[in-house]
Amino acid sequence: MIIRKLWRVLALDFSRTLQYRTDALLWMLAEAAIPLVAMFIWLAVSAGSNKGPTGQEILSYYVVVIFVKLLTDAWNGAFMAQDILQGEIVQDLVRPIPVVFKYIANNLTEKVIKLILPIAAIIFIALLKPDFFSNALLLPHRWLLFVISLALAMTLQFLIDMVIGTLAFWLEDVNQLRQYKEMLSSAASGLLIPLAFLPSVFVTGLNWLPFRYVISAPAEILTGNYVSLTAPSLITIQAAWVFALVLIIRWQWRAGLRRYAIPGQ
Amino acid sequence: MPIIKTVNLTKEYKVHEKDPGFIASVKSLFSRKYKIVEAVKAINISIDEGELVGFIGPNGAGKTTTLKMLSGLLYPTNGTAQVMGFTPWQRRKDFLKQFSLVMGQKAQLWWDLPLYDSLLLQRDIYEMTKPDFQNSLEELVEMLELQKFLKTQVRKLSLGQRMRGELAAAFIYRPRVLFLDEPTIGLDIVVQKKVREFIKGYQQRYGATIILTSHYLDDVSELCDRLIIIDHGQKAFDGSTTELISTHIDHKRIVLSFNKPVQKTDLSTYGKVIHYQPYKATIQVERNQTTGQAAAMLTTLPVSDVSIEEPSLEDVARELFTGHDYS
Repeated sequence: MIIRKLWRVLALDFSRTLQYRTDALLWMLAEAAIPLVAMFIWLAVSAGSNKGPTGQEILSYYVVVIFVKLLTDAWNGAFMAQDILQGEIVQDLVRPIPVVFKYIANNLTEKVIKLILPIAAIIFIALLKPDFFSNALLLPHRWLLFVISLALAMTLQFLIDMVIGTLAFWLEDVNQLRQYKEMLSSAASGLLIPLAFLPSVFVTGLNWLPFRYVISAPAEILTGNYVSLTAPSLITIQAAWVFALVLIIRWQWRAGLRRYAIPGQ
Repeated sequence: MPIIKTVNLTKEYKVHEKDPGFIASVKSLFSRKYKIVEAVKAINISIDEGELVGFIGPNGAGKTTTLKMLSGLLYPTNGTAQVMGFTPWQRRKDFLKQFSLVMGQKAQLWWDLPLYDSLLLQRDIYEMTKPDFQNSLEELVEMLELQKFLKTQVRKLSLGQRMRGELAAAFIYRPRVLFLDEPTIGLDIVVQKKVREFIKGYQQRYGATIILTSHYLDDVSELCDRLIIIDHGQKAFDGSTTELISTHIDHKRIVLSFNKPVQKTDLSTYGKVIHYQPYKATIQVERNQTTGQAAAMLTTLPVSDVSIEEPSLEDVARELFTGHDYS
């Protein structure tokens, strides 16, 4: 029954998203722009140096990172905060369906639309120039681990944003917090700077933050270029973060609803 | 056994207070002043299954806060409430499945999709069988005249059509208990009437228990057998509409426009002068003398326009509670 409810919300959200094709295309370009620019910078750095990853490794890494970025992006925190602050969440609270379904549906369906173009581009390049990408990307066992890691990364990013969005029960503006998170995430996730280019002391520090487990971890697993941690550790730590954030959100949600005054009415 | 019962239901809000101006804003960074606002003060209500009850009272009286607590949206500061045997703020699935809340502007329809899609979502959320859904839909399409816009994107509907759509979404799963907060707000008279007929029809057909808040006297007097007046967070009256009207509305108001200036003293012989301007005045007269006094004024005064008005139930509620004459 619960699957049918989620399915219906997904189907409706998909119909809704289809009406915003141009927006979806623009969002996709905006999200892919940063890793694309970073890729060209690091390709240039690699060409002028004998140390560090090779040009092909950087290319493979960033092709994967663009996909991981598009798939793991989460903006549910902004919507949740808006719904809480404007009292719109009321209509979801009185229905016998978990409130989070709406945000999950919105997140997944928009991602499907955003991926259509990049997937077409990859297939086009792969058919035209089969040796463009490293062969390391084609190993089946890596794909299995990659899919698990990617699913955890998607969940993790969604939950990080949800923690911030839920703070709207206490704060009147969480958008600044979200922006700080975005900045920190860009710098600490392997998006702007591949972890392979960072000194090991920095990497040790970043291991304690959730962000590298969102972008770098799945990309490292698929490309096989691990930095400081290997696949089993990466996946275990991702799962631990997911578990910890679920506990935090449960607490936040209960405490938040207790003090919620439903503004605007 | 009542289907809705509250005992000493109380809600207090902690409100941050800030003086105007920049310096006060800086000060408030370091030391904040709070005050406690008592929105609902120990309200006791008992409503039986099948009753249609009107909540009335001025803005900020505590009507909506009470409804929010009964819907499980707000935790009370004190007291208890039971709706269909459930404690609302525990938000149990079986409770949520059997009740419905319509809050004026808070839309449950999907803005970008046709109304029909939102109704299908309701079918799945409320776990309706296809035949039940179909029956209910056909009934609603007929009663609310939805046929013309069932497949139109909600954002393209007029306010009246959208409100009927909201009602369809709220009633389609045939809830046992309904809380309708200002269901006719902003609607024209024709649609208001349609909505009222629909609510009454549903309640009679399914024996649903309905609490309705409204600012419109017509809504309440046409629909509700029982009124609960809430003012300053307290229950000020609980009884039938007829009882309230017979005991508290014993007068009407005659609003007059003149084509020549009129002295106030000329008007006071007909009744109590509520508002006075040389070209415009409002006179309050005994209910049973309204026609006679209006006719007398029409013949003796230079009247260009006349209308007879009922005092609003809000005014009566305030008079009842404060003991002051609202005029």
